[in-house]
Amino acid sequence: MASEAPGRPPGYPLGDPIPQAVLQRQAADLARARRRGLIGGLPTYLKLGGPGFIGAALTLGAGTMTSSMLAGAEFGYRTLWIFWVAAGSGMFMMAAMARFTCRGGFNLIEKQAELHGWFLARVLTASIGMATVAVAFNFGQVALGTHLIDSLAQIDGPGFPQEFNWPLYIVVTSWIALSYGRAGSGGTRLLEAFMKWSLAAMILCFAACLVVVGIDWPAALKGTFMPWLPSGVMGIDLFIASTAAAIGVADWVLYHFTAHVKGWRREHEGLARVDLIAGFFVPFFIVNFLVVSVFAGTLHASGDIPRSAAELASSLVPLLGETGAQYAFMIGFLAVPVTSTIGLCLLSAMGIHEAFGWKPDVRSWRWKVCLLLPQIGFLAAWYPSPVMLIIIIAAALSLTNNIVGWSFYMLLNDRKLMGASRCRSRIWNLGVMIQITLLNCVAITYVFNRLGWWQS
Amino acid sequence: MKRFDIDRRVGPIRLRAWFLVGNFGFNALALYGLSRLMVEGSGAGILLVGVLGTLGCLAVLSQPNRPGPDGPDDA
Repeated sequence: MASEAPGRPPGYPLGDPIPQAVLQRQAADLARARRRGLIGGLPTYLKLGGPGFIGAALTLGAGTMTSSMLAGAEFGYRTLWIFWVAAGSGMFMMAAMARFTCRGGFNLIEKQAELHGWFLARVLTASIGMATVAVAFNFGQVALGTHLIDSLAQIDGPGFPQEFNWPLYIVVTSWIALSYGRAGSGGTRLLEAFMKWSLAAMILCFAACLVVVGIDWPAALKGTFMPWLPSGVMGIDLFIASTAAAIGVADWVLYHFTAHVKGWRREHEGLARVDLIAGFFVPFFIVNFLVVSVFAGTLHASGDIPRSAAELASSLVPLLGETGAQYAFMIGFLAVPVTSTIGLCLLSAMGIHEAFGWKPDVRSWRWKVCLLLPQIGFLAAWYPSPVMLIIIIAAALSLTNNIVGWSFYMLLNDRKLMGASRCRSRIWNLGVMIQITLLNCVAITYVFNRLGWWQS
Repeated sequence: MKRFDIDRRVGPIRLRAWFLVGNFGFNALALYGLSRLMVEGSGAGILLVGVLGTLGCLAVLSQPNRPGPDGPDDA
């Protein structure tokens, strides 16, 4: 049953609880912001928001950036529309997460286990959707991050090889991730501020590069608003993979839990929705727009296009010409893996605790070990990423993401669980179902590929 | 006229869950039809059935849960 009473116990007692007085002050600030309207109240929303920014920073990782760079280099501006469609179609399920936190007040995975069984909750959602993703996908972040530190040091100096710079990368990201939920809400504020400023740095740095390389505005606007796909199966693959990969189980559940850490309740639901748009959707789209445009203006139609993020970045840098632009690109790009690693560490700790049904406590050794587990990715400074492990986990994810989506859709429409707070909008349900249908298509094309029925 | 209640139990699960399974089946059918169309040039009929079935399921699944005669809004 939905519990909505003020002062309810937090649904996810991760860190130090936020004092009631602080939550009441926030509620008063939000009421004033609502009276000022969306634009007038935006500064309050941005100040009090946070989980949306963490979500955007997690999603904007090495994988997404590689896709954007490749899209810009191969197709120019023509696939820009996919990014807002991808993030937009995911917003409905994210709004469901906000509803579960703010009005439900429960721990989503516990409720899922209670109503839909432990396998769906503990295995498909917590273990596959969160923990294994966090550990496997951090190899790529560390590989990219340490490569960029080296490249940055090489612009005007002798360099700083990956084999030596990885401790710097690991210490900084671990320290910020470990602070989350600690020292009242100070640690949480630190991490959220870091994510917000990092996203701002990405936008400013990539925008500076775009000023240097220039942009073909008519082509960019056409690409943003006129859907286009390469012909044949490749186009369908590109659409399904891009739209479904932007937001998945990891983003859904991380948002639910990070909103719990903020102590959000009924009065915060409006804030949560603005946070999703201003903190998640807008930065996600702008960063991808800028990266695609930079590559469309430089590497597009240049012949042999590299396939990895590091190689793509290396190919771009000389084309930027000015040293300042090279620094800007490298700094903005470095923020991408750094923030993703921090998000993946949180995801790992939350996922493992939920998989085993452990009570999270940020001061416990168990929490710290689970949080630092993805940092095994430091091995990527020496060795190639474990491709087989990543393929297996990506396959498991492809085959199970949609089933977790079914479960959350059912919970959102469960009258016994949500009471009057259940979904009562046809458009909201349709939005959630469109994302689930895309995730179904990912699972089906994966199987068809294995059977040889789907040939790109 | 009796209302179509998507949240009534049919067998082990709610009708809403059956429609989720049905939607998945129609998605698979549509993609199978599409793959045949791309590879062999045939399969348009299968694709059409899959797309129409998917649209039908989406229309049904977009229905919100309404207060029923069996209980109040809040559980």
